[in-house]
Amino acid sequence: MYILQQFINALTTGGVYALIAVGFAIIYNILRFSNWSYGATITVSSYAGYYVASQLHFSFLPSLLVAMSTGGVLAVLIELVAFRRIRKQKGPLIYFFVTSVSVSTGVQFLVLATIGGYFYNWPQIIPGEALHIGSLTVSTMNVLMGGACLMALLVLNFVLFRTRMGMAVRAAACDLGVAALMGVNIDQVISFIFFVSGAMAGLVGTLVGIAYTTYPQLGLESMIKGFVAAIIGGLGSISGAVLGSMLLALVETAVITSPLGASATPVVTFVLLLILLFVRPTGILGKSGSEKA
Amino acid sequence: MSYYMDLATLVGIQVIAVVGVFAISGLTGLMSLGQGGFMAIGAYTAVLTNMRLGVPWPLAILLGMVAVCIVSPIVGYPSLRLRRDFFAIATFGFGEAVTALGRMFTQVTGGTMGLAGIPRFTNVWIVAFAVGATIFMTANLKNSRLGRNSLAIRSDELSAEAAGIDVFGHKMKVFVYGASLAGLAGGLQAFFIHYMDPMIFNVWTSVEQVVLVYFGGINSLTGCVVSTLLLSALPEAFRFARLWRVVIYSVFVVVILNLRPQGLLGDYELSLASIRGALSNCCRSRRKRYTESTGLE
Repeated sequence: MYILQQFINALTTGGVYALIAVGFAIIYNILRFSNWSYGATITVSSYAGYYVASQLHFSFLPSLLVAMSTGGVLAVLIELVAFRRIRKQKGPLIYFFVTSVSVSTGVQFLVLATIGGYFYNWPQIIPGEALHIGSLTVSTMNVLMGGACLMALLVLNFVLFRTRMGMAVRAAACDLGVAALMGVNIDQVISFIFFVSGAMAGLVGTLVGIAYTTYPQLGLESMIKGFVAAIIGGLGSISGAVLGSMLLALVETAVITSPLGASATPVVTFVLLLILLFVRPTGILGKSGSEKA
Repeated sequence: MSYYMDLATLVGIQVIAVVGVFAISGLTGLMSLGQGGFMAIGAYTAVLTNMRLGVPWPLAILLGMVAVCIVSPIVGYPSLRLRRDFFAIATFGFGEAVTALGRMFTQVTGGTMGLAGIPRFTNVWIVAFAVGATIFMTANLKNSRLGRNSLAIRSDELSAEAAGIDVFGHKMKVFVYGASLAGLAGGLQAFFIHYMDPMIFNVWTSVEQVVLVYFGGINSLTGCVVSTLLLSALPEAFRFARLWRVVIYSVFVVVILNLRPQGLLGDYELSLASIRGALSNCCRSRRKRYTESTGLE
């Protein structure tokens, strides 16, 4: 029973990691670089959600929507300002990464400079009682996280596989140049995926903000977790990102409840990551791409 | 006055680390996000051998570098064969693992509470000497066959291998070189700031150093030194705007990378030849006026 309880906790944490990892994986699929400005989007949308929840007394769903739209808009803006020109000039992939990192640092310190480094506790906008199924305790937070992740992934799946835009996204992920030749408006597609990944960042920011308080490093820490999860599952695939997140959450929970204790969690995570990279660098479900000569 | 000396010392330490990153990322094109981990290894080895075992501090710093030279081939051997992105991820994982290990072994490293009371041995002259030696070595590296091999590997690995360069062996050499410079910087920094904890040398330190190299221009050693001086020293002058300076710094970097991707200094290198060229350019106009007015050659 104890194991089952921990399992449920791990699943919900894994769900949150999955959201982050999927947001990461979407950008990686099409533009082939790790977008480290994702953390900045998570942070800002978390603050936006907190603001409307606490100052304007919005309830849960409207705050969530505000956070998601802020995240989406911010991500699109970041793409326009920082990445578009490099893409047009066909710059090497490294430049995207270096720029995304600078954006991330800049936004984090902007938040620190303007709002300050306090840890903001969200008002109680979700019902606080926990469900008791037999001897298991499932808190509303768990249900919310799990439910939100499932919903988001289902919606994403629908958009990607049942809409025209989704088809355009999949085509662009295959080959940007040929998709453009087929009449796909690449600029539009890229703005769209940045908006989607930003909206997911908003969802993550809200959930993590409610669960753990909102603070400037929130985005960065979440992003590192999601990054690792995406790598474990394979950077090229979205289902891989979900799988990797679940595995990561399970491993983490296992380490925390083991005699090693919670402080060993990062060590175990990174050691496993290193082992995985040497055994199968493309991740569990990743496609093995060959380096262009 | 002592504030400026302290500032110069810190900037000098940063220059040493960045020059190491220049050799790895600028010349050879390997994106290493684990330099922070090597700085930590160098720093902790130096400090612990000095404080617990009584080793004199210059030797302690050297021991730090030796420790890094032992660890970096172990890290490099499996990771240097990976593709570019995965090498970055592997070194990132290594850097984070070092930080996490440092946090875990509280008895040895002081864990999250850090190690305090480290005696101050570094001063601005030692750092200046180290910076001079480092730049001298790396400039010679860049202009030698090793440097040209690095540039070849950065441009096109497959062709470099086909041209007869032992790509893996070369990458390993450059990686160990850059890592030991990071270890040196870490050791110097530990003996300068009286306190140390594993979170100082995190992935953002490594990332910042890589950004500095790209900002200055990956082809130019002078560029990476200048960019470090600019972006480390200048914000200190605006100390009152302590947090805003990082925002401004990030804006600078994004602007340069977008509008001038070859970096601030592009291909320019400060050397005897370029100084002589600059001097003769300014004398040339005077010579021209003389020959025109007198008709003499």
